[in-house]
Amino acid sequence: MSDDPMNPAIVSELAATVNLSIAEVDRVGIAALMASARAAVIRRADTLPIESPPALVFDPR
Amino acid sequence: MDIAGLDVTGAAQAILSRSLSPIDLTEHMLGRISRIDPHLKAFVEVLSEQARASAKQADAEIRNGQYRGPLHGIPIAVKELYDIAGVKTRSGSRVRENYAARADGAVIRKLKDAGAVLLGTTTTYEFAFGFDAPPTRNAWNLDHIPSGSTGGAAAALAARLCLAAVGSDSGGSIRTPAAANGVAGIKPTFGRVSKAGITVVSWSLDHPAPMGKTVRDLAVLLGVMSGVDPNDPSSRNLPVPDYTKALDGDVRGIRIGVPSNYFFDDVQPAVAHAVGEAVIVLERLGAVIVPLTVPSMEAIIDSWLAIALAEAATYHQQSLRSKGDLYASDVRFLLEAGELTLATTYINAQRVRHAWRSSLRAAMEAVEVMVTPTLPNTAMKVGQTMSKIGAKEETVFEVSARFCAPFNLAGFPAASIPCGFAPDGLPIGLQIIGKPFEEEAILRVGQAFESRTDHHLRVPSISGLTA
Repeated sequence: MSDDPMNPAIVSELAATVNLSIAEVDRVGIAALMASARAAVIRRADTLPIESPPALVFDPR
Repeated sequence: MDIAGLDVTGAAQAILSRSLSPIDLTEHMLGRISRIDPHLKAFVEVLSEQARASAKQADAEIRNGQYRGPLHGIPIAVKELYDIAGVKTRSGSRVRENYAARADGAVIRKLKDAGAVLLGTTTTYEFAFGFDAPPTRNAWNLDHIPSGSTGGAAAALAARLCLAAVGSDSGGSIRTPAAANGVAGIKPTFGRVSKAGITVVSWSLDHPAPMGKTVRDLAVLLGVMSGVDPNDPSSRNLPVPDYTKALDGDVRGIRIGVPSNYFFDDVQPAVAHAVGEAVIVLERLGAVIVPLTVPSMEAIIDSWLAIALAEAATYHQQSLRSKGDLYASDVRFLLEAGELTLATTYINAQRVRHAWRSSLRAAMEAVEVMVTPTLPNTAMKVGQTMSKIGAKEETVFEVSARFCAPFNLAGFPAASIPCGFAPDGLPIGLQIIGKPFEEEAILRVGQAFESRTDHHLRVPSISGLTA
């Protein structure tokens, strides 16, 4: 799993597909944030049993 | 009578005994706001006329023997995130410049039914999506931030401009400003209090929550705010206890977990010292201190962030396109990042959440509550963007979320109460975490600690301003 940010141009293209225009100054930061959060979550998720479920119906009990 | 020094419980007793009227109490608070708030900047709008009318009504009802309970005639501040019928509540954003709800949200309705006097709305970070509440300043030092998006309410409470307040906590926004301003706040279990009529940050992380000067006041407020609501499907249909009954000051035999990992890493020495002293106080009161290891904290904050970003981006999806230029640049940045979060990242974050909740429950099996610092540091300076504790450098967001957000992710209840002051005079908070729907244990421990210490009785110098 890589923490390397994706190409900021791809961030821009991806955003355009949902009709969102991201300021140029933000593209690098968003690419970095997305990559680091995604990599960290996947690394932890990879340690869980494959059948470990998501907490989509949320009940803290 | 030192009216400004009263807590809710004391004011309620004075009102009931007719030594203080809701009208005089409300006028006193409005006078203090007009003198002190120009320096503190905690209020967005002061609802003077509405408050006076509510106080007058409360006074008449009480005189007629129609006493509603301990919030009757008590002036309360409301974070500008709650719907109040006919009142502008912009959620701190130009995006909602002219928004005024037609109906009260669930908590506001309950507060009004209990006879509370709504003094006004207090500041929030834009859409509560940050750990500050500009332009509000910290009540203990105006060069510092109040912390947390409920910072306006916390500063107002610390400066004695209200007797209590309601706000919200999605990653620590009740607990961090409570800690930073030397007051008490409790984030209840997810589902304990209805979220209906409160602007969403993240559907699965948001917790409406009270702040007070004392733990007893938290118990009173939480009792009024709690309960199932058909307008909030995540609210739970469980009996609401009388939380004040837990406040007997007796913690003998209660097992208190103190984590040996994560929650004391990279903490300012004054914070570590104050929390260590608090543990000693609790042990002297007869509590059993149990060292415990918190299960793997890896990616807990990342998972919280991924969920918060994706859910917030969904909530703002339409207005981000139509009014994107009206958002503050940092909030817009986070929402855009949320828009692009992959579904698999969100689902994996929810899987991590499920595992974290299960392992936290197991770790806390042997104890009733766990204690940690609320924040690793005291309030940061206005304009400061990075925190440095030892070798660890973090953003305001990271340092503020570190100890609090894990319990939003788990949905477990957690409070912050004052436990000391740093050498520079800024307050320090003790976080007390309980098991789901067992807020009584938190309140019991908090009140016992409070009854043997005087941190909650100290008052910032701004409170004494007369002009």
